[in-house]
Amino acid sequence: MIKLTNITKTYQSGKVMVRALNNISLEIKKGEFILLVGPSGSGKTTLLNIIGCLTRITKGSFRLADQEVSHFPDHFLSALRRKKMGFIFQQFNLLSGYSTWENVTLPLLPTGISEKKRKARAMKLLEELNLETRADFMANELSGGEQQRAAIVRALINDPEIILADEPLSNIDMVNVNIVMDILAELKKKGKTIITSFHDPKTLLSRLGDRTVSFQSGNIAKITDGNMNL
Amino acid sequence: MILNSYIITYLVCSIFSLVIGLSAAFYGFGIGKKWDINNQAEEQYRLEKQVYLIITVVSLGFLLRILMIPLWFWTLHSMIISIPGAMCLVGVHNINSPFSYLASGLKLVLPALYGYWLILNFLDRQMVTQPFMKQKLIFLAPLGVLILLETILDVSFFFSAPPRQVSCCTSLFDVPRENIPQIVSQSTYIWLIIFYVLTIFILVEMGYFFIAQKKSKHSERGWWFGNKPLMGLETLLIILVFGVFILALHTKLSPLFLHLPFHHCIFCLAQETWDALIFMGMILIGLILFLIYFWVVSSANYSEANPTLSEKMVNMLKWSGGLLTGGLVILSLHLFLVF
Repeated sequence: MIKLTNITKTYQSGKVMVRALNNISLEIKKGEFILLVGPSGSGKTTLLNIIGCLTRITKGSFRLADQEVSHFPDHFLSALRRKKMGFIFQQFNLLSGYSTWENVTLPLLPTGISEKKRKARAMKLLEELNLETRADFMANELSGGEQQRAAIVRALINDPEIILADEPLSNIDMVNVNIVMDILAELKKKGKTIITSFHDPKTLLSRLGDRTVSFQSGNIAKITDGNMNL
Repeated sequence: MILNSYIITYLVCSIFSLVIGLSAAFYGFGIGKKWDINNQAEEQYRLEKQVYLIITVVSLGFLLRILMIPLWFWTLHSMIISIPGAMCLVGVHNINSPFSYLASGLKLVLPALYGYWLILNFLDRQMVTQPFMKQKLIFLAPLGVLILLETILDVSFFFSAPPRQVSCCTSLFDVPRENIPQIVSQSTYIWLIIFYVLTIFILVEMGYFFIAQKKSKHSERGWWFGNKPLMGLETLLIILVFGVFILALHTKLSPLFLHLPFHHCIFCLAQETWDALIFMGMILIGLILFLIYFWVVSSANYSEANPTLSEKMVNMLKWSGGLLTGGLVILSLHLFLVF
């Protein structure tokens, strides 16, 4: 489903050219749960951004669903993101001036679906994640765990094939870690392809992974089949 | 110098349009020269972001140009009372003829060129390879030059023309007795007949290309794709049809529809006969869309884009044929009612 071949990503930081990823190759099959591990600055987030079509590669080939997407124009990448991908961020990235249901339906706005249908779809998912009573709360009135669950609903609202999560457990307490883990396990059962990064190898998330990809200074240090079984 | 609120509003719009046109031309040309779809460097990404800005600017320019058509004619209309001898827009144009007619012509040509650019851009964005990118960016340069020319014509028209006695459109009362036979002889059906013949020929052509374009979806390419000489011929034909249409309006349709045998004024016709503006607009837009169709398919790299764009090109032919037929039907109905 996702095939990265000899990917290099460099970017300019002031006067310095930074090589975030260095000639890496990785193939991810449909329905796989991939864990990206490694210290901060090792290239995990850059890889997530590349797979999520949020940034472009400098060299190499990136194929998604049998299409070479590295040369896709930006509006094609936007359409791809909208149709195929859901994003979960470490900092939740909910808009504080909007209610929970408005936040989670944001990805549906460009699709032209009516507000009534958008809200109905949001309420169904919010109910599944026990957030229906918080639907009309402003995003900043939610607890950290609730915010992350709302962010997950936002990622799922388009029924994406691929879910990309950047350190999704970093800013939530243990109770909510378990809740989010259960949700991710459920998504894995439904056949979603999940790629998530985390820098703490002791995290419980490692129990879910089909493969673990370890990063070191922009390179893949090793790929372990199965989870890390910590 | 004549100055009123309409002229000031028009000049503000004109300067705004010039800024839009020149900046789009300047940046578009610069991006067009550097554009390389296969380049993965950040520079290409930066160029792509600039293209989105240009698309926004050109869309804004198109809307402005559409608004400037009625505004221009309202502005000319507002000048009638300031010009001795002027009774309609012909008199106003006569202050600075033929440049004023050129300026009025550009009011119609520029939105058509903007329309071509936006249609080309729409088609370009349907394809990952963006095959028309360079073509559309470079096209902004001559468009910018035309806008500059038009602005110069407008400004010189408003500012350098003093109010003076002008002649106006022909009517029974202001024609010298010795010229009456000449005016009567001008009222001929010949241009109207030629217009009908040419328009029906174009409709037949549209029908042929409509069927051929539909079939081309299943074949590798159509013989007319990338055919520059054909594009040149079609462009000349459509300009000819437009010219003949103006002559038909001037020589026969105006006197017939205005019920004044010596009154050949197209401006009076457009102002006093409500359906005249509709059929003129429909015929003009129909011809422009057909011309745009040829300009797009004559692109060197259209063949590779045809499998993706064929359906949209068929729709364009449908619209152009529909508008031209509709315009012709309204014109014919009015002619029928006159008789």
